[in-house]
Amino acid sequence: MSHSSRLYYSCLIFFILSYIPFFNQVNLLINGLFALNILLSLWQEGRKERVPQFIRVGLMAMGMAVIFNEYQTLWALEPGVATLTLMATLKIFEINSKRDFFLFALIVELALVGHVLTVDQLYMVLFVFVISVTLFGLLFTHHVGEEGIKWTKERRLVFTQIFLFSLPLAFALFFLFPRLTLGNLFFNTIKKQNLTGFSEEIRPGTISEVIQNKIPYFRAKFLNGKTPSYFELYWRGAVLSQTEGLIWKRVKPPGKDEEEFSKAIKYSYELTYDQFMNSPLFLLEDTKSFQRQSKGHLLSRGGRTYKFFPYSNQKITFTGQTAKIKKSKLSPQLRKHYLQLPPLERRPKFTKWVSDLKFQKKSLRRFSKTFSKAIKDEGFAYTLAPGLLGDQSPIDEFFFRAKQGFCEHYAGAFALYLRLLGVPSRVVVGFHGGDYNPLGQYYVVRGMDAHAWVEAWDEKRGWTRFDPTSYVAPDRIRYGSAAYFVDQEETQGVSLDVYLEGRSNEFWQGLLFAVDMLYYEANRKFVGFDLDRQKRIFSFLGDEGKRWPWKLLFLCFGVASLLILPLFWRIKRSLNHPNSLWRNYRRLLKKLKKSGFEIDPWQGPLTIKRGAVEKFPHHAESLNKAFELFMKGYYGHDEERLKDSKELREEYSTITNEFRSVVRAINLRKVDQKSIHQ
Amino acid sequence: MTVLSPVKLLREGFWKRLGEKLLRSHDKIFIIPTRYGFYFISIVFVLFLISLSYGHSLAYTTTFIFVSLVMTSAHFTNFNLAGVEVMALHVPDEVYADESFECRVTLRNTSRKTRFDIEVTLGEVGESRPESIESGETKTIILKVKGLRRGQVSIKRLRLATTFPFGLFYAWKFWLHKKDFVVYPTQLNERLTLPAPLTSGLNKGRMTQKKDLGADEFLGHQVFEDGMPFKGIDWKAYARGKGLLYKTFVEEAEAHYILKPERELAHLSLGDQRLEEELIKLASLVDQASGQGVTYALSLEGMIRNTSFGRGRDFKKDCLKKLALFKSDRQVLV
Repeated sequence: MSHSSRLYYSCLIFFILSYIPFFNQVNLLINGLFALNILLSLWQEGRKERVPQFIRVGLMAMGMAVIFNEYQTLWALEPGVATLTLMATLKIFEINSKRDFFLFALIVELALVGHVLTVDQLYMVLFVFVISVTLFGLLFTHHVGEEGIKWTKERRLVFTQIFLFSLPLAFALFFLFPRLTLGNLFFNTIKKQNLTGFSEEIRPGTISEVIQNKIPYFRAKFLNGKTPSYFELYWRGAVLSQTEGLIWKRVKPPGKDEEEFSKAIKYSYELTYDQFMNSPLFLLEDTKSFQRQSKGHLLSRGGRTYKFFPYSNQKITFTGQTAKIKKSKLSPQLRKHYLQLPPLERRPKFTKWVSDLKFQKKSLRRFSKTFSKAIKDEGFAYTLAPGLLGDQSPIDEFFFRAKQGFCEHYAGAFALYLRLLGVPSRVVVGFHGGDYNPLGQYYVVRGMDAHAWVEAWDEKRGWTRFDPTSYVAPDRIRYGSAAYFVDQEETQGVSLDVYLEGRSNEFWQGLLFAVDMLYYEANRKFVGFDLDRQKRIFSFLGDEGKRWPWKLLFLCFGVASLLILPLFWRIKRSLNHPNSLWRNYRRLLKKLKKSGFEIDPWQGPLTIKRGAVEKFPHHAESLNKAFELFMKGYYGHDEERLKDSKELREEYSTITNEFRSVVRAINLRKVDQKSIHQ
Repeated sequence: MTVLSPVKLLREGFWKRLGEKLLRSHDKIFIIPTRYGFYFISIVFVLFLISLSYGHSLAYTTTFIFVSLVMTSAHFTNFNLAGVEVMALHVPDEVYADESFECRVTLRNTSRKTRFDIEVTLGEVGESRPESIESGETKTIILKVKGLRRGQVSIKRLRLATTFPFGLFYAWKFWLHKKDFVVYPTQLNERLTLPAPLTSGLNKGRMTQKKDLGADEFLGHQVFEDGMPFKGIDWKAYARGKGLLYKTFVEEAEAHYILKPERELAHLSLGDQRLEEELIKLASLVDQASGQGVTYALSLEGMIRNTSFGRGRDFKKDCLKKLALFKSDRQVLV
């Protein structure tokens, strides 16, 4: 195989290796185009016929058109990365020389940088390491030219040493370099779809679609030693206030919720998303404050809900703190907003039913009890497949005919019921509960934990949560969705409590918990590693506001310098001549130079001796002896002869030892008394 | 004197001193990123800015892995030259202008580690392939040199360089090594015709210099040297201001050739193509005459011969040297 062929195949393997983890980031058409380019280059290499330039130009133009068609722009992260990958697949047609290879490696490296921003998983560190080894391995092979070098044992050792020296340094820099932020200098991600499946509107069936998904959406860990009960685990995503019966939409409210929280923190938690891009921030009920670790743009959506747009495809991570609400106020505008009703023709029967209800005392508690009783008395059922409801008046259909539904039905109906009774209310969508991992002490919240409930305005207590699903399916709230939906048919007559306790003792469950915990903790510590975490770890540096990052930077460079020191030691040690005779000869020459004696590099020992004796007459005897010993050792004892004769080796050793002693004893700064007397 | 002059002088003094220091540098290693090294470092810098911008942990990881590898590789590149010394430089006996030739450079690795991919360069005219030298080993490397002009060449120093391990950095050091040699004029490929030989006298095989001026065939003038008899001095030429010239005559059995240029060279200066052409022809004639084993002399300046008659290898070298040095300049390779 010719040199250029070898170079081509090396580059091809490197490209494929660097692209494989990301091929699902682009659509099939773009992947197909990349594959076409690769196949054409293989054809070119196999047939040794050059693909005409106009075809390559055409492929480039076609590629750009496809990318633009997919993303509708070229000035964003994803199309930028796709363009770089396209350039790499075209550059591979021209790998003939060392220069071509270097340019190709640089393009692939730039594309890799872009790809890295589209994922945020710990296992990618291993991938980055593998790619680094491959890239630098190729540079190591081809730095002298396209023919490359042979990987001898010594070269492999040097290559390994380079990585062994580099990795601790990289590790130290990762932990010590202050995680300062510059603000967004580059392209944002353009992916706008909301992977939660939640839009800002629910209608019958919306949430029942989301709960089919068992993949983790986020993990929540409680930090201050206090964990809420399962009944408190309501993760608020969006507040929907506009209704047309059973359809509820988010509409920007005319003002903010006015609440005053107590100072004492009740729960402190950290949330790490698994898959999301643009997403609501799922805050625990009564969250007083939160801090984002990921960089991005935050939008307030009203009702103490927010949506987050990360700058790159980062896992959203934030911490939140809850507290008791001391005081709340509802402005007249907000009151009106949360009393909005659909047109009468969409709820005639339901409106009549509500207006016919009699209450001894009008209170929220009584209202909810009445509704709950009605649900139970009429035999309402909780089901994922409630069937279709008519378009004209879905609420009447649900409440008077179907009498079965999912959480969104009950929440929508209850909120409308309360509004008809003059109580401002709203539907909240988000998640409830989650799977608890006892090993890691965190909750894993999945799609099947999606839920909808109601918040109603209580004049004394402010916004109060009501979960109408608990009226019809209390086990759903008590045990969570995993227990309620997945395992019900497995209970086989045994009570759910007993069944759940039995399940948690299973070996495999424990193993799964362990694996998930390792994955979560490693990702959390890696992905969520930011300036706050650094301050916690390096708290011994004190906390002096703006100066703190500089202190850490100083520490970083200090540690990095220490890590580089072994390299210098290694080099210094390697400079010692392997031969003791030569080492001491060089020591002697160094002493002479330090004392002001100029030595030309091409001068032999005899010439140097004459000059040295002339310049340092008071040290003539010792200098003469030293040089004579050296010449005797050097000229009389070559390696081949030394190997064959033991006597010669002994003689050589004696000369070397004596020479070393003489050189050590020479001190040109002091006058040699013997020489003076002579 | 303007206000800025002292500053200007100081700057000039600094740069001049720096330049001189660099010219005298010996066994000091310098390092700079290669073109690809600059590109790579730029990309790593962009990656660093991306990490700062997005606060992305994986981007930080990638950045710091690359930064560490680049820093470590700079270190390895720099010290890949440490302990490598030039022991000897051998130049071929006959070197001709505008032709490639090979020098042999003997390197020694005095360190404990193998030094990889060391290349030797000589100014802008000579370079070698990268070679590796094991610890304690002495190795001879071929240095291909081309494109030298005729004349005296002085080598002041050699440059040892490497881009090991990744080609991101270029490290070099100078090794002071003095070597002088002469580059002869280019040889023509075609065969030239020797000029008509001079007729012979009674003594075969030997040239004699007749004391009786004018009795035998006058060969020409030679510059007077110590040891020659005074009687042979051409006093008339001396009176004309041509210096001390000695008349020579021939009286021998075999042919003698005087190789001289077709045109007058006195009026031609260095760099004149006609001068070079004449010298090239003369060099080819010398080579031919030497090859044929005849006796010849070189005459560059009209009636004055630059050499006595002679033949053989050493005489040929002497003639070629005179041709090489005729109106030439000294090339200094650093």
